[in-house]
Amino acid sequence: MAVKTFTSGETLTAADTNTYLANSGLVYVSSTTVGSGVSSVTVSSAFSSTYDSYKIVISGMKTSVSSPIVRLQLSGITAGYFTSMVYQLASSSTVNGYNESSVAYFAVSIGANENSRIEFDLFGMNAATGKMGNSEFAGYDNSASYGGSTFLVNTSGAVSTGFVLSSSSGTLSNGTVTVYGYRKG
Amino acid sequence: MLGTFHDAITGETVTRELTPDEIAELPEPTNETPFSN
Repeated sequence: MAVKTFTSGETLTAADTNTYLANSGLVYVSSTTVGSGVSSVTVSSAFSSTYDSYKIVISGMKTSVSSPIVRLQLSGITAGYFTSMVYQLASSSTVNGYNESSVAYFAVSIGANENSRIEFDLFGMNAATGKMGNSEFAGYDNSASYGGSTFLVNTSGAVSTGFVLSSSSGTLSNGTVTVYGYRKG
Repeated sequence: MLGTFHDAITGETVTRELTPDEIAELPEPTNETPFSN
């Protein structure tokens, strides 16, 4: 998508506004409010050929149990997910590791039963070579705070149009799931 | 079991009971957790 430089006094038309000004680097796609006590959150038609990379922000979500794994499965892809995770509790200087290999989902975060924030990027959503991503998360669970990062790989070249969030145990409540697309040049 | 469903094209969000097929498609639950808090 081209970038236009407007000159002094040039008329800003509706067409130019829609083409050049409505498409910033990070473009809003959708927003979902998480229901109360749900086993899953499904966002359909979130991904398309318009973008190759996406940012998903999950803010304020709570889990019904303490510190489960928050999982994300790309629609139509049920295998070939790899997660490498590092995390640290604020009460300790120890950095810990966690991994899941060749499973049915990304482990995008450690859930929290009081408050949490997850931000993750997915790249190569239309690539035949598979998808990669990374997430950063922070949580407040049973009055303990922690944070971490993940590194995510899925080996499938299949094109996915959406995703499903779930918890390894218990349910999800509260919060908002927002999807943004990284604008292509 | 309830699920929240959002369509990014229409903007519609609903929370409803999951169908048996939808439940079966969810990853198998586990009690695994990186740490016990």
